[in-house]
Amino acid sequence: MHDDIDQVIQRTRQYWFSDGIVEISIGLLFLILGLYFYLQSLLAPGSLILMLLQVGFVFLLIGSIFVSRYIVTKLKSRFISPRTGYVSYKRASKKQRTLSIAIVCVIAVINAVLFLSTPLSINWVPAVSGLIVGSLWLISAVRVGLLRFYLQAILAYLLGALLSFTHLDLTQNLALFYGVLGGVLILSGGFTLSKYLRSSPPLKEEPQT
Amino acid sequence: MGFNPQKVIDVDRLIHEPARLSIMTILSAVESADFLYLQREIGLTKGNLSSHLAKLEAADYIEITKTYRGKIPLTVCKLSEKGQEAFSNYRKQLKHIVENTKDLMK
Repeated sequence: MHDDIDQVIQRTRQYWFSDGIVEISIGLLFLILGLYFYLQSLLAPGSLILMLLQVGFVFLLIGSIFVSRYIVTKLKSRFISPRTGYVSYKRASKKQRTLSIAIVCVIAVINAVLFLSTPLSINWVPAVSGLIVGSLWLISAVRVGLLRFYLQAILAYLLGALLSFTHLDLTQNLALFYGVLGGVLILSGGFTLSKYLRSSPPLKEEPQT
Repeated sequence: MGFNPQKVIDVDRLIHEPARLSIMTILSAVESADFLYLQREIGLTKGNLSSHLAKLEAADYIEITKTYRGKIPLTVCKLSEKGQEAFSNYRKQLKHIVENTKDLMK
């Protein structure tokens, strides 16, 4: 019975990802990142547009995250909750938020040390990106227990490692990394959403008493 | 620490009922969940679920809020502080029983 309780808890955590909408939104974010790096690769070094792109990167990233969160919430409220119910999840605890920030800082420091100490290490940026993205996906996979998350984590690791051996420059590698991952996530999310909509038709009557 | 039969007798019977245990387990993992989600996950009829929710609410283990999302009525449930503590104690009791009966079977 103890194990059953853990299974119910894990299944409840899975619900947020059961319709594929979150995956599609993350996939779109990754595609935007891929497009950003692709545009960088096309522009001449030192050009004004390139400088503006680099300066605007943080704003682009944060803005995209906020917009996608808003859209996901609206879509779930409009299409998912009326079919299978509404769940509000707990906010991460202070300890979890501190740990997340600490992990990001450690990764940033490692990246900075690598780039400053060894110029050749810039070839390993895709592998490091794969390691970071794959590890975040793996943590989610363990937490919610979804097989496709494990597969996506493995893909991120392999793709990052593979791209580190190509002769493409850094921005092209990152464009490919995020573009391919983004495409895979959109496909996976789209398939999940399609399966969800087929298995959960809209209710014909109100369930509440 | 040996097996204490009193621990079995002391198990919270309000939570121990399978449907109510499912309700408490789901609500322990989230901030809140609505009636439809609970009904689909646990597989109860509307009347049956309402009855179990009423018992948990009467014991102050859960809080039920009737609200609206646009024009659609929504019944949202969440664990109260008393309910969180009761569920946590229930899990400890279960853990004690499971661990100590494993020792008895060796």
